[in-house]
Amino acid sequence: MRKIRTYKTAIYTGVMLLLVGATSCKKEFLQVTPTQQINAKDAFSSPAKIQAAMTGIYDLTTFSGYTNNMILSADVKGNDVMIVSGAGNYNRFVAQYQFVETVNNGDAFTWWQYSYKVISNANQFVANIPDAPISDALKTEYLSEARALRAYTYFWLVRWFAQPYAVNPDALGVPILRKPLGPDETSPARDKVKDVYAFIIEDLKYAETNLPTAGRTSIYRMSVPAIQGMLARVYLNMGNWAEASRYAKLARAAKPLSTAAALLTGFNNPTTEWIYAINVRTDDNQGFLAVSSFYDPYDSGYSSFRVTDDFFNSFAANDERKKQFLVKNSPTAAASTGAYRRRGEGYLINKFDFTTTPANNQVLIRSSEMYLIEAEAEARLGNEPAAKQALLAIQQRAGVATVVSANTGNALIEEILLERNKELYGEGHKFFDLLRTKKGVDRTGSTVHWKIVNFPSGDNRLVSPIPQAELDANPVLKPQQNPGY
Amino acid sequence: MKQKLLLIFMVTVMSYFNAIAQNKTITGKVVDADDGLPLPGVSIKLKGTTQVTQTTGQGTFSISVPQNAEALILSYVGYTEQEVKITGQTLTIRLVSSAKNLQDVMIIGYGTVKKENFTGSAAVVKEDVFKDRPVTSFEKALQGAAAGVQVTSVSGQPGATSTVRIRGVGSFTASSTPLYVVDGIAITNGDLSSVAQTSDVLSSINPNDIASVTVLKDATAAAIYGSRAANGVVLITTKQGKAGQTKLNLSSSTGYSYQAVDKPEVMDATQYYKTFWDVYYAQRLAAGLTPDAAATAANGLTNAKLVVNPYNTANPYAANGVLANGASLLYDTDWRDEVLRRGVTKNIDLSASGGNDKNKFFVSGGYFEQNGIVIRSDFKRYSGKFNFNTDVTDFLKVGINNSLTRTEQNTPAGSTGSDNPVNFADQTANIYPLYVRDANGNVVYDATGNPVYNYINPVTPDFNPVGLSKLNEYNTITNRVITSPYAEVRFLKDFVAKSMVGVDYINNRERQFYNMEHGDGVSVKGRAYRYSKEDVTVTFQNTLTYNKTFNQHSFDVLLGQEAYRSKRDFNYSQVTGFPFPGTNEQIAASTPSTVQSYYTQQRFASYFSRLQYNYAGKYYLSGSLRRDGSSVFGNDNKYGTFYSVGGGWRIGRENFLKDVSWIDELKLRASYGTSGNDRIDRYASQGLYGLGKNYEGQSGINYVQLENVNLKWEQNSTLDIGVEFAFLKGKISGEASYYKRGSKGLLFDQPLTRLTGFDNLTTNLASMDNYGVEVLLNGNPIKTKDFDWNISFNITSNRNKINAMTQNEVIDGTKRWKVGADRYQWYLRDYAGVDPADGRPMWYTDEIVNGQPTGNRITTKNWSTATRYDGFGSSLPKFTGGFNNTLRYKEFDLSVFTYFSTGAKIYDTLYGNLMHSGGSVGKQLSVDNYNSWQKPGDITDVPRFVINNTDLGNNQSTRFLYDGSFMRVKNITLGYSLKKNWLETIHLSNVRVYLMAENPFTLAKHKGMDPESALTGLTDNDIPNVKTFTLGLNVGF
Repeated sequence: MRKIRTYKTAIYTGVMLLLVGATSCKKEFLQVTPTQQINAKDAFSSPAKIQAAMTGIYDLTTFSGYTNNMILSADVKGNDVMIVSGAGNYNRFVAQYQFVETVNNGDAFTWWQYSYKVISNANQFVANIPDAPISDALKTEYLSEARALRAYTYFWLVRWFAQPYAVNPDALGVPILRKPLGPDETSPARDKVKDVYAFIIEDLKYAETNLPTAGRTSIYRMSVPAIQGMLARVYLNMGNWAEASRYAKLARAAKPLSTAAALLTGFNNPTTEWIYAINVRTDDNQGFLAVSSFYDPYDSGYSSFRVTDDFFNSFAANDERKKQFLVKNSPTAAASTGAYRRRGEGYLINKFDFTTTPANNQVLIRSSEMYLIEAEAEARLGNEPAAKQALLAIQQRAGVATVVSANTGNALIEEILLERNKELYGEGHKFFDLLRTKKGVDRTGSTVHWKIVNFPSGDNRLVSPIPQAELDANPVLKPQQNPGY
Repeated sequence: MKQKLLLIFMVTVMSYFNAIAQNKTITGKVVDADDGLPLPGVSIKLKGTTQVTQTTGQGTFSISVPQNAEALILSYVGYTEQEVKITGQTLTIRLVSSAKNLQDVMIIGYGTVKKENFTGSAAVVKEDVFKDRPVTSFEKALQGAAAGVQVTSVSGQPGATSTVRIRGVGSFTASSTPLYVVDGIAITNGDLSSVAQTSDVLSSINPNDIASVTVLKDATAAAIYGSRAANGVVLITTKQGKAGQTKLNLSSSTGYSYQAVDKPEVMDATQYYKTFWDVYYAQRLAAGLTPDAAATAANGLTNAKLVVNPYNTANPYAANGVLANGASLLYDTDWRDEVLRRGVTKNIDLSASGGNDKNKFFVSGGYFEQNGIVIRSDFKRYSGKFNFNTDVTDFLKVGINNSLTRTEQNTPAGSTGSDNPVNFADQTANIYPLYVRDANGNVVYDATGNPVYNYINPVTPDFNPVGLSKLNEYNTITNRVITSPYAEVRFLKDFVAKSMVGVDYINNRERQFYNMEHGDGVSVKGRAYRYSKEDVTVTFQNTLTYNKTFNQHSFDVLLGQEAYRSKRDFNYSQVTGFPFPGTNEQIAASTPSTVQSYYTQQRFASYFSRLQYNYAGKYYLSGSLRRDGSSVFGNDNKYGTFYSVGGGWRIGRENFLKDVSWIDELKLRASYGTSGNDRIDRYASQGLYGLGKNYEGQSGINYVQLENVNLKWEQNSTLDIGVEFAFLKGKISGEASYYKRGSKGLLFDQPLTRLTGFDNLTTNLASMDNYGVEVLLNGNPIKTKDFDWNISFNITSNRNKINAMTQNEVIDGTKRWKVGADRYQWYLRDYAGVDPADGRPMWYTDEIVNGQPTGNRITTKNWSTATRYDGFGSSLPKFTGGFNNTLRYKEFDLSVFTYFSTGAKIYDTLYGNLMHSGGSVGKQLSVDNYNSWQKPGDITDVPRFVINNTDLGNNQSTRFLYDGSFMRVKNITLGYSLKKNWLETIHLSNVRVYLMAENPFTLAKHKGMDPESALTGLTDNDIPNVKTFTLGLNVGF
């Protein structure tokens, strides 16, 4: 009896020891690989991964709080477009409209944060592409694309967070990063505005020279015309009229102006004149935060943006673009029900279609802007015939003129600027136009604006505050907050 | 059984023949002193001899003893040994269950120990604390029940998660949740849901299945759990069967719930409309209009600004603010009323427990249902438990503990979403109608006779919380199986080897639906989400224990090995484009919007050991050592070693105190040890590029996480010194301890400059201390046959101090973490009141002269430039504790549990929103707005009311920081048990009927806010906590 018992005990104990042995572990047991991500070290280890990494940079720009938000803010800070005052504005863009942003403003923080995310990802390319397992031609192509995206992002940053180039090129701009900044490295201080512009030009020129034209036909990705369009804008901001005009002509060379009818299709589908745009799909989940949602007149979206009476009345009666203000009874009603309508303050806008789909592409550069850049640059250079021809292209398309303008000198420039307003409203230009032309923002005398402001050029409030979260985490930038905050 | 009877018979006969003239036969019955049920297998020994017999299955016995025999000694596992004088031929003996003795045997990590022999700090919470409580999860019942344990319940959503902190908060960004162990196996806890506003898989444990909970607090108790023990360990033991007749128990209760604490008083429709009207009227008058013209203008302006007119005319007010003739209010929507309802709780539980000396089982089934006080919030739990163990042979024991649960939870949207009924009701003014009304103000009905909900309101257009609650869906279903079979082998007399496999399987399926007619889903014609998660953790645990006592020395050695692998699989799909209302399954949708799947894994491997030694039951020494490896940490730091040492001295048993009769127990104990915390993201140390960053229909990746190879454990070192005592035969008992819990290498999201492309980097850079004193006092002032009164009081004071970080200070929202201060120090602008000259709000700021601060403070009206200060206190309480009374008078029992917390500062966000002073048109206003500044010279603390106010008076500042001290009566229970003789006539073993009130009273320093807020002192539009009144019945068969 006893022997069997001991025997059984031994067996059971042996089994248990086996269990211990079986479940005790080898070193590999503790290694796990994620499935939602890949290790950063592998991101540039194959051509497909590199391509995916470049796609990922574009994806950052589709974030609803970023590009859309900047475009909307740039218009609401002008004096043509405004936001309603009543309970229907959900507090979005109200701070920007009133110029009462604090250092904790969430929108300004996202502009800063996402801009530097794009720059950081682009800099990963700058750092890793030279050693990547792809051909030299591809390396150059990716580098060009990354640097173009970097430059485009810096252009937004330096216009929001610093005084305009035209006002003070020696003012403090934003920190320049030519390569990735590691968490242990010291942050650079703010570079001067003129140095940031020089950096932008450097990147764009490199990209223009080295980005291939063959095979790059998508308007949703960087292309040589897009880069040329950006150069035109940047030079215009710097006051370099000759270069601005030259690049404007190059950018639009293969992109003829669309018909007037195409301007009434809702700015969602590309027309012949779109040079660069952001492609938005349902999985980007912009939801109600698309630009078109705020301009929508049917309450399908936020529908809180309007134009002032003065701006509305600046359109001639026969201006084809005035039809962009025709609002039907409902999105599905017949076109004949279209009328000019008001709700809250100002006129409703129907330029951007939000009712057809919630995934709305966002145009960033189109030929019309190039014509207007050319016109303004030539006019400022004194080449009035050239200026008038470029201006006529836009006016003729809009149906308001068949012969060149009779204005000269300042009057011509003002006419061109007015044409810019009418053509490009809602596309993120007005505020920056006011800044670079040193007009400041002045709403005095308006009966429609519910927040009257009068900031002369150079005023502190025309520059956004560096986000408090950044200053709290960055001792180098901490003493460099913009004045007035 | 038969063999035994025969044996007894033969022995009896033989002894009869042997000593027929000298012996007598004693017969009798042994029963349980509590319930009178017979006890089989009780060992009966004749005192002074080795003669032994046993009771039969019916509890009877017969023993032949010499004529001069004096006493019998009865002993039985689980019962106190008893010596019984032989007073007659027949004896009826009642044995007392030793579990009833003051915590005689307590469950600790990987084993049990007698309370008197334990040198660590642990709190034992018995089953009556959890029994029948109308709470969805057992940890809510822990509040106030144990010293050093702080439980905070922020949301009244049925099934909500609670925050449990043992001895303070030991981490910054890593989780500070303790480890939960059920029947020896660590289980998954936390919120696995993506859809539910708040949820916790701990709610799948049926509180009625709990036999006891031990909270391990210090190093000696908890360090045996090594890298997971830094935040303390909660050991849950479920009920096991007991030998004896099968006991059946039925519990049933029903109750109603209401909001526990009232919110601030707000304006009704008339008051709200008039507030705006008065401003416009005054403006028009000042512009020179006559009173009549001004009134008409004011009517128009107010209607336009508010977008809605709740009166029956476009001109409701006439000159001087008088209601115009014939004008009347059409409706006045009390939004809070509309989204709240009376909550209902139902609970029914049936259990059976029994067995014989070889096999024991416990089976239970339960159904719990709670409808919350907010519309569309509810929780159901179906639970079943089956615990079984059997002695296969005399050295092999095999058993299994199982539980199966299914919980179904519906929650409304949370946080600041427009779909959140609580947020909507708190912030929408009464002038916006709930239903669509016709021109006469009557409610419009649809074809089926239901009222049509109004969705037109400018504050959150196209939302109506009541209407949406019927159209949208947020549903979480969790199925859980926890099973742990084990085998235990005894060999060589003193060794026990135990092998256990634990499987914790959780399946979580969720549905979310935004309907296509109103709200978030309109622009996409409806949006439906489906989530499916499977979380499986398999643990292997093998232990070997050795117990030996010889002379006065007693050894208890434990060696063990443990490993687990855990995998969480995640599946998600989202579609849009539904054809017509009434369909919400994904098959009906036209556009697949997102489809995703991934899984995460975590692995763990460990070896541990423990030694407990005592000499003469007076001097104690213990130590433990554990080496853990985890997949979570950086390659350079995968393993960690943890240890503890502890000692105890039972002074009460020393000779010099032996004659002091009033001291029953006096014990000194001390311990020191290390433990770790591994609760961070499973891949936190790796540099990662995220997948799924698609653009233009092509797959993309981008940089989402920076690498940190040095990432390692958070290390805790805990020192504990305590004294335990019991005086006057148990009339007074208690314990007091001082502890210092030093945490270093704390996981810390070091904020980075955004120039890096990242917001922060997870590092091990900080260290923090928690230290404090815990005191527990129990008293039994009166104990007579009819009346019994127990008092228990516990209080904990915890101080938290940051020792080091990477930088001297870090700003985390409303808090500043500064070296030398505590982790929850408020860091806000200091409200300086209202300027009597112009009614604008002011804040203090540092005076700067010529670019240099002078050290003085001045006031400013510019909120964004005002300086932030600390020194306003902390959101952590200074003292927390509980005060509990249990009384019994004959058949009545009354218990009152109270919880208190003092010293915390809380931020009343809701009140802040209600005091917007016109900054948010259309949003609700508090009636305190009537105290606003009106004209120069007014002294008040409420700034001026301006339509579209930009003064920013209600932005974050100390204006809304209040003292959050409170005392909450957690539970009052009054019960009545039927007398024993009545019970016998109806053949039941016990019947008890009771009335219970949960959270009936709250006394709070600051009114208008439930003082139980998150540890940060902030709330997030949660469903309010509830008070519940239940009536229940327990029946035992």
